[in-house]
Amino acid sequence: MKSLAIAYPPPDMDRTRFSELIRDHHQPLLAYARVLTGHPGRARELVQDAFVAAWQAIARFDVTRDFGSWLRGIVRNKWREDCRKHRREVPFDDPELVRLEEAVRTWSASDGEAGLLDRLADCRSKLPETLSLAVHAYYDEDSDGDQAASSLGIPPATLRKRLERARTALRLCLESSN
Amino acid sequence: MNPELPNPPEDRLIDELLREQAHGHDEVFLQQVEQAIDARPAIPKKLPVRRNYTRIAIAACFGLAAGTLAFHHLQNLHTQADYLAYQESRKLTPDVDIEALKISVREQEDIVEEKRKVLTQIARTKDIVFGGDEEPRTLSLPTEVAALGDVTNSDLDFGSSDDFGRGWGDSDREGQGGGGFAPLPDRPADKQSNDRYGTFIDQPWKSPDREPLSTFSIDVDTASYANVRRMIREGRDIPRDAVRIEEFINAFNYNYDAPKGDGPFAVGADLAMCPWAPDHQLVRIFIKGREIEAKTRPASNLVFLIDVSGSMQSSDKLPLLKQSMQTLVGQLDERDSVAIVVYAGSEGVALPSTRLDEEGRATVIQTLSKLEAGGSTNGGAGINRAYQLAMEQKIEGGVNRVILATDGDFNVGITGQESLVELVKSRAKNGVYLTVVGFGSGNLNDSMMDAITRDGNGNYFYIGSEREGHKVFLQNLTGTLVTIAKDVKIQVDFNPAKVGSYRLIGYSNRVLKNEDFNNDAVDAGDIGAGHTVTAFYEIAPPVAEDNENKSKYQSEEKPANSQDWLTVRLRHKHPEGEQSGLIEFPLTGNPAPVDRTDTDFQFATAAALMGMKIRGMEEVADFGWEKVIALAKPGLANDITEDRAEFIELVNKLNGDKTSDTPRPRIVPPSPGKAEVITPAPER
Repeated sequence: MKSLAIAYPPPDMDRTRFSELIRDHHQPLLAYARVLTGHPGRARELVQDAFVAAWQAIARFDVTRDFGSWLRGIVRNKWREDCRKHRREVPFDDPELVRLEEAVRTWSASDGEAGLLDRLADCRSKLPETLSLAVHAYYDEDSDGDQAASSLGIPPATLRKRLERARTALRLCLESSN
Repeated sequence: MNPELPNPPEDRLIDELLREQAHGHDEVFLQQVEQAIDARPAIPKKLPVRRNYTRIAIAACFGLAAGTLAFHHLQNLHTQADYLAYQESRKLTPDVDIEALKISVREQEDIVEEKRKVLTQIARTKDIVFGGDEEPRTLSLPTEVAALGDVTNSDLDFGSSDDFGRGWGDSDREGQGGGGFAPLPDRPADKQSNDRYGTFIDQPWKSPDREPLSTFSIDVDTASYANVRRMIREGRDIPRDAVRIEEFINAFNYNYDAPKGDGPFAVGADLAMCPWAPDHQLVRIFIKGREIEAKTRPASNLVFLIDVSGSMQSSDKLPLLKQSMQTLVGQLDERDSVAIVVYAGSEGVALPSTRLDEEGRATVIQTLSKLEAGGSTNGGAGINRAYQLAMEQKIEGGVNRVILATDGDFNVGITGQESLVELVKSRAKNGVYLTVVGFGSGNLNDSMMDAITRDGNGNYFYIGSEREGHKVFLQNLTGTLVTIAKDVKIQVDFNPAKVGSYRLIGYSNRVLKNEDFNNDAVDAGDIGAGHTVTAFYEIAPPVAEDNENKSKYQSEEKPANSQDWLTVRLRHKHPEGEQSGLIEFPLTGNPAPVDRTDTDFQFATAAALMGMKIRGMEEVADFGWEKVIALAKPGLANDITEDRAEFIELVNKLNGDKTSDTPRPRIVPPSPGKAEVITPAPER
């Protein structure tokens, strides 16, 4: 419950406290922003801007609301603004946004966003060995598909299937943990 | 496209989380963020200040009206452009799977309602500035919201929504009083309401010759005023029996002298000329409960008993209930614990007793946020479960209380009012008290909720807005939770030499038999820390004796030769005691003109008059609303909470304020066939 607990900060939050919140939330938020934008650099800019905006408005933060969802709201609006400003096509429609938001909320329900990666690690530990190895080769080793498949000695199509199964299993695990 | 990359948003999120997990904390990024934040300081909080100066904010809005009109015109252009862009963006995505949204129609309606409130509030308060050097922006509104009006949130929405439009700060802006700038779509009075009110009869005039004693139980509830206030604001019909005059009077705080020493309360009485009958007098009896500082209040063991039946779905019920409970939780600390029992078709423990440390507080709030309405109501079973939990966790010497939050619709289980009252009374004897908090309209069982608290050692509030929720659970929290005396009864002994007749104003369903005053087995009302209680008697002078028509059987005994107008007696018990103590004092002196009394006297009189006039009491029919306002106005000198200013606003509305944007409320007499006793005024 760590994340949720700090999601209700004291009214006069000091700077140190806010830094702790940034540290706890920046990874899930970066992941979220990358899903929105599909672009790592733009995601970092959005998240940085969102933290700045959040700090500027921290005194107005409604403590009965979830801090993580507040931050995501800021990121979303900044991303929309960015799309409008630069006349970019919006790569995400509203139903997809709703699904995305619901996924974050569901997966974070018990431990909050800050605990999301820990829970993901826990779910990873429960994966069958073949799937776990595929995830490790592709993500942890930062390989592309061909390299990862080669290191595992399997065809790229098999790797893709295993990664797909692994993501489904992880999603189900995150959902069931609540 | 990379073939390893997933397509559904959930899988894409898993993909990105796995990448984050592989990379670990990005220290460089964190450093950049810290530097960017330090370059721009936070904005000081403004809302609480604005809350205390709602009137100023409203005045500022009027002052800015001309500029705002022009501003709105420009913003409209932006909004329309944004809306077109929004529609355009929707066109870009083919085959939208509506089912996949997994958002119920009800939730969407709630979102629209919340947006409407936010937008309305924004229209009122152009002084809100978010985001420092952020550019003013407009919100892209879905059609249903855009259709509500062309109000824009130019100042607000950089990241101001956390749920596709649910304003993260909207809770601070809802229900802050004021005149209600948003016009209602139709006259609410036209809607069928199933609210239920008990029928009661105003106290008749009595003669001290025949009935020198008048006895009643105190009532510190405020539900009736809060409920009628909501009706007035919304321009609804007001059933006369919705008015309990004493709850109008006691809905306000008065600056009575605090008790000296260790006594639980101070009590006093005074006298003035009656403003609506110059040859009559008004007697005020007042009580001030001992204040207890929040930090010294005893630990609390609270059980929230929350009605999640289908009737609780509307936005003025469960969502407001959650908000109010969260306000309460926000005021509690590590000393306290909270459990949550919900009831609908069946009851269940949503959260066992949880200590409110940082983690526990989050758990309680999370549990509250998950509650959804549906099903019928088994209130009786829920109450049993709630009391069981409260007894299991009972804190000796602490506050042990069940807080029942409902629209009062008990339609399954222990439905009989008497059964419920008995249950509540028996638990109160074990030291677990009840607070009933009523919500919403259309199904409000006011008579049930009043009865179970009146007869069962509890208190009853009605929450029609977030502001009222703050009043009950934030400003008056210790009073709401901490009982400092129980079974408080007042008995007045009138001197026939000075008083020809008298009547008690309000307290109609709190009157006790005179013999019950000294009977400690008979329950009466409780008083909480810091509470003030006020009661008025109207008294008329004795009429000249008519010796010619005097019956030979009439007593020749002369009234006591005393200058006392009356004697006040008060009985009360310690919250955990069973034996009452007695306080007794006389009232002497000459009545002052009402405009020479203290401002609290005048304001309390105005509050009583509002109730009397709505109840249709003939004696005050000719006492105009403008005179009620004149009586209330001096009280504005002591109006930190702005409750008194709001009162004047309501009276203006009753008086047919032409600037109001809601219809003038109509007062509905009792239905044909209902018992009504007309009690003529004594000769003047």
